[in-house]
Amino acid sequence: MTFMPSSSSPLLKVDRLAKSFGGVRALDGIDFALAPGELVGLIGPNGSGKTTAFNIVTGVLKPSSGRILFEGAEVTGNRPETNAALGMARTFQNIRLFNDLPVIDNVMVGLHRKRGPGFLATVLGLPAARRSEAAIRVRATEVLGILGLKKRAGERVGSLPYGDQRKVEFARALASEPTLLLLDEPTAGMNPYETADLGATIERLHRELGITTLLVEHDMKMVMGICQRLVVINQGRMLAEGTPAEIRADARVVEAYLGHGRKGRHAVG
Amino acid sequence: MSGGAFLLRLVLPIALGAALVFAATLGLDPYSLTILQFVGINVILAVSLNVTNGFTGLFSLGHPAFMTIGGYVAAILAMPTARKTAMLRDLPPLLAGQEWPFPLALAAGGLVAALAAAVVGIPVLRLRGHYLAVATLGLIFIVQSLAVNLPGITRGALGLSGLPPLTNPWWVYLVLVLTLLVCWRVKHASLGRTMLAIRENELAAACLGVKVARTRVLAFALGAFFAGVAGGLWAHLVTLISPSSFSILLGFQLIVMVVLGGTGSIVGTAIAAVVLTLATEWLRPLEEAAGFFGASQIIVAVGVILVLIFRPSGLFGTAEPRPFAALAARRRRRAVPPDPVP
Repeated sequence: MTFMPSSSSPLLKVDRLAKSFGGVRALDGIDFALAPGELVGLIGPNGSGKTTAFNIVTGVLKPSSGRILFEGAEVTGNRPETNAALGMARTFQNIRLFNDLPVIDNVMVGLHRKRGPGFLATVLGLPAARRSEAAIRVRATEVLGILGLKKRAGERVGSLPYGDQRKVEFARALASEPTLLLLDEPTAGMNPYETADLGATIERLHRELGITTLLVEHDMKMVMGICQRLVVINQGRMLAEGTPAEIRADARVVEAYLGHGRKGRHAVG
Repeated sequence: MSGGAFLLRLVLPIALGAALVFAATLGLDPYSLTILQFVGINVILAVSLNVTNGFTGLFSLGHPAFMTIGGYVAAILAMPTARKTAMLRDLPPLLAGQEWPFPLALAAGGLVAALAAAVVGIPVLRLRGHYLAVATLGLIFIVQSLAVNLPGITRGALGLSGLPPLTNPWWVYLVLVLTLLVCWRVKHASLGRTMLAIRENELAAACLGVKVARTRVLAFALGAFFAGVAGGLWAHLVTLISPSSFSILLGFQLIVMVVLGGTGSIVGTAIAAVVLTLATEWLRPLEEAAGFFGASQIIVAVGVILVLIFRPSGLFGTAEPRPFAALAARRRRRAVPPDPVP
């Protein structure tokens, strides 16, 4: 596999991850790794456990067994806020924005951890607190600019169209300058035009900012187009791993997506 | 902040308010002056409750518990030692010898209340929605029964009577200004934004690195601090504190103020507190004349139901009414340099 990371120091390493919900084995031995700077897609048919794996990596769910290493350190079972502090940022499949707040405030929340002033500085109105508040606003405006949302900064985020809400989630995750960006089905519910647009945005940001990105995605066409490497899981197990070309040619993947007796042409769009 | 803006935004309103308080002390009869102080105390209570319930979205009913704690602490610390030896013979010697200046006693009451909130908050704030409401309701009864059953310190069900009438319009005004200033600054800063974020979507906030548990406890303790101070003010205004001084009924009235004013709006809550306090007072003679006691409470309850139906987020929602919002907006504009012309 040509894009296999120089496995000495992967940024993220997932090792024999398993998760049971009662008697249901949602994940059963998932292994993959991300090298610094990679854009990797985690794909699989509906119900294959993509989002479960994703939620375990970010700390929203705890694994039943297995390990997760981030920058060489054990992060298995960490809380989401701890993982965020270590440099993970994520988006959600079903958009989770702070609906009652303006667009810019949504993005600014992501900057509190690194730059937000403490309680006393805030209450006393210290100049340092004012400066960091201003810095947060400038940075949030910058990130909105990158995603072309500057004009919408003052609008209530709940009133934005769906595609723009996705982008705000994206901006919110980017603002914190993460070392690992985790995108959970960013194109869910989008029309083909919006999907292509967001795919281009993801690729552009990855190219320009060089953030290691893990993309959980359903839309094969988009994933094939932008990812350097793909991890395919099916029914909670590893199915395949490789470059888009390798995955496209993999009979098991085609079968998992389309069932027996059909050619893979449709699967790859 | 430049000197001129500082003068305009902070010093001028405070001086204006002080002038009004001064005019009131000269012009009003003692009865009206007392009502005015209750109005101030209720604004302190409602606005501080709004930090917990409005900003952070924790439905707490616990304010009366923190008022009781703060009220007793302030009363015991500020009481003249001579009176203490007469009324509280079993008081531990460490406390019996204390006679603190009023502001220090108030602050101590607030701090003990905040501490209690932090200790209680760590387990209780894991609960959500109505579970939290019930747990904080339980807190009121726990504090009440502690006050009844620690006669050595609280004189049991009799309460502490004949407290020195230390509360005056100036102390109320000072605490009111501090409450508004602190709550306003918290809301319009990064910290307040994380509180609102927790209210809007807890999981998303956590995934952005917001320390959810800690921020919740902070909001709860901050609200409890001002409740404790207000309890001290109240006790020294009516010169009495007993286990039943601050009941669930008061907790309900405060919730009503927050709901009516807008969960999250400081000015809205303050206005609701003023209107409701005065309305209850002014409706009293009417109730007596009509021989229909409790009418004011019925009117208020109907008002709440109407607001919940037609404007569920309260009269002002989370926003501040226009002239006040402009204050925050102006500051924001200064913070962001204008876009370079493309």
